[in-house]
Amino acid sequence: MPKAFPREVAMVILPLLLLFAILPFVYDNGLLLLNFVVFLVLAQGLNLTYGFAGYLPFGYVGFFGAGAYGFSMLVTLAGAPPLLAVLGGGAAAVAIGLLLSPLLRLQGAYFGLASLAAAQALLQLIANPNLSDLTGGPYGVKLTLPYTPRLIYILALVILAVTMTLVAWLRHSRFGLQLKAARDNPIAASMAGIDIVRGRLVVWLASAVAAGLIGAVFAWRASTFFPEAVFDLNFSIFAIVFTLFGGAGTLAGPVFGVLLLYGLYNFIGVSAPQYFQLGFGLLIMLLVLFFPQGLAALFRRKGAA
Amino acid sequence: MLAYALATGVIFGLYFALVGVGMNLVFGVMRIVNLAHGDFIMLGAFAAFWLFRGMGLPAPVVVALCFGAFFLIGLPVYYALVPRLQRAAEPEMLSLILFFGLSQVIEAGVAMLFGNTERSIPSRLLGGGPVHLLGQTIPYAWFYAAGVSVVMMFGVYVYLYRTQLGRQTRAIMAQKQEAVAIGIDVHKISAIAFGIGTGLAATAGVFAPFMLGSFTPSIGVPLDLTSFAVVIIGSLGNPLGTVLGGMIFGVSLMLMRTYFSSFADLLPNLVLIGVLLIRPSGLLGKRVRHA
Amino acid sequence: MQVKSWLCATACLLAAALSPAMAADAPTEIKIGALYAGSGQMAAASTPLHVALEYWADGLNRNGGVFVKGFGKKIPIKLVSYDDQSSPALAANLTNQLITVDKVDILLADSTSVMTASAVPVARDHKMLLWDITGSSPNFFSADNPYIVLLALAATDRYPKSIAEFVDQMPKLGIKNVAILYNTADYTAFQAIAVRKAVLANPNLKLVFDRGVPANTTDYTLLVNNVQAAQPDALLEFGYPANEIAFLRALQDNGSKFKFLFTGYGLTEMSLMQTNGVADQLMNTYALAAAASYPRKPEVGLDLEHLREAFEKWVEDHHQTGVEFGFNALAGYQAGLVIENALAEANSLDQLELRRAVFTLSGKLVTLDGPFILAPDGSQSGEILPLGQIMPGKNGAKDYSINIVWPPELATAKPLYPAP
Repeated sequence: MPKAFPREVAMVILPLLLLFAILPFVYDNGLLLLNFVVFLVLAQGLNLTYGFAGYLPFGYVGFFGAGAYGFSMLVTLAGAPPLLAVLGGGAAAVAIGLLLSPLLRLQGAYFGLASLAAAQALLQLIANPNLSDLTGGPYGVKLTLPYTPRLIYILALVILAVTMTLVAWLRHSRFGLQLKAARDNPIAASMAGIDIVRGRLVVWLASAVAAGLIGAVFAWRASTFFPEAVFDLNFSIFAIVFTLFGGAGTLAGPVFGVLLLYGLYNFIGVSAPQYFQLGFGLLIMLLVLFFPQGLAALFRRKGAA
Repeated sequence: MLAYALATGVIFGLYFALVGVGMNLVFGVMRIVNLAHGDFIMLGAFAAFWLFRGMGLPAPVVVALCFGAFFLIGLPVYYALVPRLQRAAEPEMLSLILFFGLSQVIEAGVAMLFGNTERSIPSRLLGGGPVHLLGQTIPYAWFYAAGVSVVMMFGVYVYLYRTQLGRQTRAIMAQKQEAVAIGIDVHKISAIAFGIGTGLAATAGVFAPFMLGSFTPSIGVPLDLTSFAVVIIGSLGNPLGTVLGGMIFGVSLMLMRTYFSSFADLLPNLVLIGVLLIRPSGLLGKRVRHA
Repeated sequence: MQVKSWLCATACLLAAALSPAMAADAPTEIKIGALYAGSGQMAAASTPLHVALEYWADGLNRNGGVFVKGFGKKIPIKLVSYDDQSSPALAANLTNQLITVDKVDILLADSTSVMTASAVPVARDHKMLLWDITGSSPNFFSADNPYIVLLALAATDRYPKSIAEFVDQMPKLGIKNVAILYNTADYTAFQAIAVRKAVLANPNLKLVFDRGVPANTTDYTLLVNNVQAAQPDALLEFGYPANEIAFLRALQDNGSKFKFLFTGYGLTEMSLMQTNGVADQLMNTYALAAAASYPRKPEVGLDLEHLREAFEKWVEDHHQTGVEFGFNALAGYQAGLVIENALAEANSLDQLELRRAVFTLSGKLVTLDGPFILAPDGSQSGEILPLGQIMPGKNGAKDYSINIVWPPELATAKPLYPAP
């Protein structure tokens, strides 16, 4: 393992964790901070799939919702303690990931839209009134758990740390390089003996777990929610845009994307919202047309020169 | 009830074909998924709203105006967005995001200008009363829309198979690199295809208020998934396969509504996934290279 | 003796300055925090409600503010509002912002159950009373959560009371077969459940058709035809406005008629139905007589006509576009009235004290929204809408009138069955 890995951990992950550990003492809106962490995790999870395997899952929110409902069902049906149920949420997301793994055979736009359809299908299944005894159906979920925001926040930071460490590791490990090779030129890579299929599956499931765990944490904090709230397409879209904006495949890129854009989103909610959808749409278009490599590419170019 | 579900499925399915054919053409020629497709349909619906209700124009005029106007709008949109996009590393995936951004811009703009309330158009503006079939009724508007759809499909067929531009379009759809090599002006042909796609979307939009009950600025994104499903079932790149895709989709939807109504909206998504996994080239298409 | 009087004066002033104030620590303003959806799916419902709140607050401020009993004087209102863009996640963040950063005294939820849902746990966690305006899902209320009160409409499990009770009257009209068609979302499904229960419990009625459809259903042709094939005497339909418009359009397009038809939003959104040209299908049908369509005599606050006038004038003066007067505007005004009257009873701004003050209004406050009655868990049991039949006037749907057919103490006419 080259020295780059510990250096990246020290320079990116630790300061970020430190920042978010201190912020609650300085800024009172703890829920907003938690949501920042949620998006940081989602962006990094998406980074795993897109940055390393080249798949853009429009339906990434499906794993998030699966985690949220896995958590809720374990709590309401099995009376599980919340910490265990969070792990259960992660497991639920992995199960869905395995179920959907045949989609990895598809390329490009097919994959993107098929994953979107899968997330929608999962939502519609869960929200169906016939299943209300299991999932609460369209009437939503209502969890009665003790109020422990600090514990939840710390758990979210732990999940963030693990996810980012995984991304950092992939960036500098042989496995990660193999993945990137497979993404850029699948035929050559498989001729070089790289097991593409297995590699992709591993990354896919890893990103599913990340979303599932943080989805469970979100459900824990929200405690009352309708199905649409945890299967909201905006989770996918934001994660994609934040990651693209910062630069997929990098460690710090998605972080910048989240801090800047999600911060802007909340700030605008507080001041000038009507133009948000318009501005956001324009931003997306400009991003794809002029900066498809994201901000990180700008910095890299500067460094190289 | 079964026969009625089948009959309505086929008729509504023809309309779905019209909804999907524009997206099919664009994807076939440019390998781009136009997620703003649904929003062009929505714009067509708004245009029809004013032309029908505001100006009282007859239906064929409205259709012609909308197709023409949106064809012309599609051309600059193509030139502004697509050539740059295709220079990126993964244009197909990025096209999803780019056109999603466009769809948000269109939706936001329309919502800001005209508000979010539901609008609809009385069917009597199309003329004709309910048609009695198999002991039950089908609205006249459905037949009208299905008829227009058949006409437009025929027009697409004639364009693709009987005109010079159409032949060139098919050449690009089949083998892009070779088409460039033999000197076909890919951008010009693609722009025209994009314009036709947009025009077709707007035409589908003209009938959307009649087929869908009412419309708001946000009907765009859900229509995208329906469109894509229809395209995939029929076959990608074969615009006429869309007719088959539409009918199959329509029939399955009506059957679900009859027998398992609360799951009716689950079906399109399952069908899309199922077809992609089992036969991604669609029912009429050629094999698609897997990753 | 000048020195002495000077000393005296100083001593008196000092004494006055040091003695406790008559009104203990009265704040300079009452901060009311509200969320609204300025864009997205919920905007059509949410914006009028918020505009009505602004109108109410402005009206009070012109007269010096709202009277708070505990401070014995009027205090100006400051309305702090954020746009949640119809996103529940953003709504949760912004609710938290209102509580933790803006430190509002009174916290209002956004309209609709979907948006209120995000605020419920946040309010409870911070021990802040949530003044829930139209979020009527029974899930929000429980015996162990005192931090919520429902202001402007009955909780959904009680909301369809009039039609559910009327079901037992149906055999008397000659109705035997009943059909139910509903949208499977929370709000409409709860109503369908209540009605279904009543039909199944009645031995003289037969349920011949019972179908739930997804909330985004916009084409009802097949469904209408299937219902007709089942040949019901009565059809009870529950949907959101978009579904209702599509449903009525399907009736129009297929030339379908039912002897007895009930729709969820027939009266609540009558103007929307008229704009969309389907109001003629509603003639001789039944709907719950929403406060915005059925004038009640209030004991407190404006009545319907005056509120409509004032609201529309406010909208014009402030150049708002696309804001319609309807139930949501009324709900916003109702929220204001409840706040006003509760503060007039409140001894302080402590959240549980405010709750107590709101509860004193229960059973006493009668506004244009109906009688205000709270159940112990904070949900609204009052404001029950009577069942009305929509009768065409000389110009048909344009000058319709409402005959109240149930409950008997409010009834103005007998139901006309079958519909002509």
